[in-house]
Amino acid sequence: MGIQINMAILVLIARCCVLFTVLVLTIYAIRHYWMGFSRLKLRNPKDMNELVGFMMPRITVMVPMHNEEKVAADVLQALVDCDYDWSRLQIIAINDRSTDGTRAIVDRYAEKYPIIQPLHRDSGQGGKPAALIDATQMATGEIILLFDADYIPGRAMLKMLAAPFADIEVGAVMGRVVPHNVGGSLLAGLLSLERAAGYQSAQQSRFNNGFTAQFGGTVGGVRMSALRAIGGWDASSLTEDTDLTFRLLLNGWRVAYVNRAECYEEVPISWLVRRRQLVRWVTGHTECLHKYWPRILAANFLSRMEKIDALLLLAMYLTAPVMVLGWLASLVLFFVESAHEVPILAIAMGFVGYQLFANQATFMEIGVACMLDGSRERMLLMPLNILNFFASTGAICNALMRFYWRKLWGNDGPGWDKTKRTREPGAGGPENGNGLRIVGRTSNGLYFSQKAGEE
Amino acid sequence: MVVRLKTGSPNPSGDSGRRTRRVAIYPHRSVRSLPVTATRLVVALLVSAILCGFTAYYAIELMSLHGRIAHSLMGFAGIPVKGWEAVSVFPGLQPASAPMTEIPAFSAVTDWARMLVIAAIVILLLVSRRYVLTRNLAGFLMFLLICSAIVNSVNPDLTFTSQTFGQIWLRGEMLVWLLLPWVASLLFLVPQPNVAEGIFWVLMVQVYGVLFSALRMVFCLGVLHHTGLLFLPLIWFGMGTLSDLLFLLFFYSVSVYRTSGRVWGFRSTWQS
Repeated sequence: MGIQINMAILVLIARCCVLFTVLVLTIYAIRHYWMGFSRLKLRNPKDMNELVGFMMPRITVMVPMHNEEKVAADVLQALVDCDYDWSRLQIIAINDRSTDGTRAIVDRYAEKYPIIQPLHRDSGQGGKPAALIDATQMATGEIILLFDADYIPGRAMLKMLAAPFADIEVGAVMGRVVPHNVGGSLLAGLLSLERAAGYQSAQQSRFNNGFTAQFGGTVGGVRMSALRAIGGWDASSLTEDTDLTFRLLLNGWRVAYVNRAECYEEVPISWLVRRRQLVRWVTGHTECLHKYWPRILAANFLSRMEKIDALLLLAMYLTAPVMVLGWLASLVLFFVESAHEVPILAIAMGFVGYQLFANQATFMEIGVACMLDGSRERMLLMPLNILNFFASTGAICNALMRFYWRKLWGNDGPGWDKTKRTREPGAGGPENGNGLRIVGRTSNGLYFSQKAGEE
Repeated sequence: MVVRLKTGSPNPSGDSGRRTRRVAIYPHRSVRSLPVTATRLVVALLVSAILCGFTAYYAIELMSLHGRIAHSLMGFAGIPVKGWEAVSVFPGLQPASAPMTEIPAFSAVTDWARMLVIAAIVILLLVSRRYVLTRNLAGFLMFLLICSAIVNSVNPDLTFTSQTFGQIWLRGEMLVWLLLPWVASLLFLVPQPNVAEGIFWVLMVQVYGVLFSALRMVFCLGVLHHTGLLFLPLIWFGMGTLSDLLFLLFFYSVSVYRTSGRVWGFRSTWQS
């Protein structure tokens, strides 16, 4: 009798878990479908593109670097090659406690180009936010633009990112990140699909519909006055970009998204590197969720839809454990024989199917992005994205477990972890899979490729 | 010296000059869009509703067709079928027939079936070590296998008939078939520039869904017939809704591949 009651309770809990999972995933599915279709329609893009070249405030470009000898020269050269008026441009090359040849590269460029100011950090707190705090004290621009060291900005990039600041409500701006090492590995190809969906579809859609775009901490910028108004960078945050986005939002600023400002980056080609990146993002994001959800709900100036969107954005990594919960609950229902007699098992199984279909919504965003980008061959990789999906789900669950464990017991969180680079110095980028590598730029600022081995 | 000023097109054909001009500036990918109109959404909803209604109305016939295909495939694969039993799929719906084939309990399975489980775990372990990206999926599959092995060891006389399997399979798949038109319309019809082609994709996905389901069910029954319940959770997870998702993803990727090339021209991303 006692066992029967326990079984009944177990089945009841499992059913509740499945229903909860379906509810959460349905909300996200609706959100993704809506964003995908909304982007396809491209209603009213407000990227101030017409002002490119006319709106040239004094800007400071910051490039934080920690052991970046493989890529430092490329990014600095690309920045000095930009067609921004040098009298209004300051580049701060931050050498953050590097132990390799980064210092020498920074000094060489600073000597050659007077607009580059080196900042050598030999001590103090490590990590990008801490480096940015120091660099901000040296900044003379009205606008701070940020580039990670593995990025290669095109000639017009600085002008494109500066233009949206013509709108006085814009506190930060974000450009589009495009991986250039797509052929580096299967993972890199899959991540390029993910990036396309994230920028071409999700970011653009959210911006078009009046929601705040997410500042990514690179290929973007922040207005100095806005940064001061919200209290500067948060050195304790693992994702200073997400933290900044929400502090700006809660102080009435908007984050603009410029889809045309495309900047090449290097995505991780190995899963171990990707997992570390993911752990940092998950931890930082969830920290921001805990920090800002009450203020988001209480903000009178945000519309109901803006609040929902902001909360769904911050809670997006929590869907992974919810999904695992649903799977486990379905497994319990499967094994508990009594459940076979009633249609609930079929419904549970159908719901499991629905969870997968709900995930289809995120895949739909990838399709939308590829359709708009004109990407064809890489789209055929999409079914393999299921591997990335499972791998990411596990990594996210692991990171969240550690996060809540630390929160419970008050331990220190993970430190700031730099993404490992794979590009060779001076190569301008690894081969893209077709035997081509980026080797230089045409007069209009486009990078051109060359067959590996050709002169 | 007389300078002749040539007016009009320098080409022999009068209108060939116009051909050199582009009809429209090729839109940069950042400002491209596709017409997702209200009419298109209404068409998608109508197609979904009709197809879903058709599936619901002809559910018995559809399951009967599914059964006939499964029967042929089982004969082809050499899986012995003792007969067919009427099973209730949903209350209020006429019963459908499920194949009867022997599924041995754990106590009756041969040693090689047990060895097969160990081999499967070893293979999954090797795959997960070799391809790091597959680690979680392989880990979850191993977890299912181990769970199944434990449950079967604790209760070696646990039985599960093929009729019950067929019943649960049909319940799950029927829900998928009812849901498929809605998902497929959103994926294939709404963004597709050519409406007729969009409808074609939606229909094809639905037809394939039924055929593929029969094939997978036969595969699962074959595995169950030879190895008992040891692989049941694994094949349920792998060949069930996950396969439904994967075939949908496959069709979607091919559809976008074709559409993308036709809409923006066959060129690389960096060229636009």
